[in-house]
Amino acid sequence: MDWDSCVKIELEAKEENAALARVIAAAFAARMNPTLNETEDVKVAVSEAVTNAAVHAYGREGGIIVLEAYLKGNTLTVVVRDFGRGIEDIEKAKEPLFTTSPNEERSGLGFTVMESFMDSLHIKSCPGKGTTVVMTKEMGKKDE
Amino acid sequence: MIKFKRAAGAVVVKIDGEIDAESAKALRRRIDMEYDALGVKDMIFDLSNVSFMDSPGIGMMIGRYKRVRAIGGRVKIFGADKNVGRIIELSGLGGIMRVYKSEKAAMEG
Repeated sequence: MDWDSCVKIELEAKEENAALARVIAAAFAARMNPTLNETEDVKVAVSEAVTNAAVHAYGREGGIIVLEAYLKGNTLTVVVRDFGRGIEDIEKAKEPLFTTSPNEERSGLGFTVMESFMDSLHIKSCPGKGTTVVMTKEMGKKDE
Repeated sequence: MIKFKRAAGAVVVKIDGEIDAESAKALRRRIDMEYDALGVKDMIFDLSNVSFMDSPGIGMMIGRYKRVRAIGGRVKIFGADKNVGRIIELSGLGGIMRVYKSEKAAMEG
């Protein structure tokens, strides 16, 4: 696809890198003259996606998360990709409050938040191969 | 950063900055330690200086809620800005913790 601009970054799959990821996404999205709310929405959604990958994708051996962001017209597309264990049942994973880590104070709201704060959310996953989350948002609209 | 004060039979937990998966780890330890040490029942979250929160923050607050409820206490929230308020609303947290507009309202409620 012919993008106006793009960025691609590899991060260690650690929860501490969610903060870096959301700052990168917000800085990239700033090119589109977003509203404050739009910027915060993108930050929250990216933070959720990177945190999900950091918590669930890999075991002790760790791994890599790839964050990609693309601009085309007014549309921001964010891709968060891991190469870890994958999701067996995506529809189950998307259910609000569902978590595979009930003893770790996980709210199970990650996908719900991504879906609410972005305009679209698509999840592709293959057990044993990894998960790709693709989110889009129209930017530069006026605050309601 | 986090500050605590004791008021009206509760511990007021004032959190500064961002609440995400990483910061939630230290926050839960500090909050639990202070809550146990003070021997109060209720907990009030002051979110007026929280600039960012995602769902791990909600998980942290739910975890504290379970501990407080185990001894019959109540958990309240005040000070959330528009963005933090959105995620609180989305999570349904308001169904188990009363959300107030001000510290005064939270103390009196």
